[in-house]
Amino acid sequence: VKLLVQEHYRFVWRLLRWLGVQESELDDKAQEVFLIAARRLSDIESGRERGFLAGVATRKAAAARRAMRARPESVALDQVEPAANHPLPDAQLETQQAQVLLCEVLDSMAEDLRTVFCLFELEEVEIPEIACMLSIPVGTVGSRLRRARAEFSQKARLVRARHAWASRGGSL
Amino acid sequence: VKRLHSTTNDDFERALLSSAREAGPSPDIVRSVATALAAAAVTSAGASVASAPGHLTVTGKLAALSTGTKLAVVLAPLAIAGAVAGAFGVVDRSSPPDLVAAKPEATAPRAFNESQSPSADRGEEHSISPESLPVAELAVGFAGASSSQSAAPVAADAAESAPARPSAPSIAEEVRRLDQARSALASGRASDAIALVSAYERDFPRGALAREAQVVRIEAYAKLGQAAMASQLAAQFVARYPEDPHSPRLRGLVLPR
Repeated sequence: VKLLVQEHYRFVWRLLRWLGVQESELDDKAQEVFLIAARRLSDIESGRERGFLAGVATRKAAAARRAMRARPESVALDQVEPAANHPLPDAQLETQQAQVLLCEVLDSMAEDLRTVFCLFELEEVEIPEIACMLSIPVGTVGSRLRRARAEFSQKARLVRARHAWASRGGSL
Repeated sequence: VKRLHSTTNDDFERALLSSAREAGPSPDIVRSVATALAAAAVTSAGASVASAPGHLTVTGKLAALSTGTKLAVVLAPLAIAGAVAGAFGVVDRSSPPDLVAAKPEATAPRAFNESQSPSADRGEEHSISPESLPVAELAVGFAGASSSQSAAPVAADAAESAPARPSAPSIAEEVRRLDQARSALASGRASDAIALVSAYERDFPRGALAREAQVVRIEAYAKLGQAAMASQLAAQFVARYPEDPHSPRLRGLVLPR
């Protein structure tokens, strides 16, 4: 299990993040995923650990998102600082800001498309493995990925537009 | 199929996608989770020792023993008594394995009482006394090997019903508390950081992150200009945990006599 954590914690943590778990809850949720994995260690076929973890993580993330929707006050959007007002001190912050925006885009995507998109584009899992992880046909992964990319581009434009608007102080 | 990151013509999309590369958990947390869950795995291995027949029993035991600490010996009987949650309790409070190994008698019953696991009452061996722990473990091992029928239902039932959740908030809470101390230190409030570390140690006397907490305290004293204090604590830490990844850095804080 120690190996399991060392090898896959980063993957699970990132996946949870891309699937919409709040940053403050990430370590909790990631631990819960491994806790479940630890209890079911004997059920996991060797070589399929990552798939198992991805499955658990996907379900956890979905549950976390439902719980978050139940609590109306969301912190996430407040963290988006308008860029133009504050010249960024360093590249690090810029990256963080881009991550927040990325999460914003992902948050607006349909759940099944988002999952495939995150696995393929962000975690660089290959299509056949994704198909295996989600127990769906390879063709379905391909078509979801195409639709996910289209949606990502569309939402990214939206977020960028909104962001540019906010950075000009909210007036056009 | 190529990634969108390398094919998109849109700079904004590329910026978003490449920002994802930077994200990751902090190495400290990975290490503490790995430690905590490794012990949890021993626990479940302990459960399968009793439920699996013949040769599996042997491998299970070997696996448990090969972890090389008495942790396994302590955890195995706990698991079989149905206190999976209790075993997690041990883990949470005793991350440095050397401490556990040194005092298994002290930690095991403690976790038992504190876990308040509902299944602890149902476990047939809930009256295990500290002295009997290793014996109990052996006994169960034999029971598993010779008549798996008798031991299996107990362990299987226990593993199913024991809630492992209570431990998760506990370690998460520890991480949260230590993060508070760290960020206090990072934002220049060194004396707050020391207070937070002390509060953390009070609330988690066997905290899984006790070493990290001590490192924060040492750095806080150094930041406050209390070099003698920092030096003394750093020397103690380095002497006690020479292999700790923090030790090389802390050696730099030790003043020459």
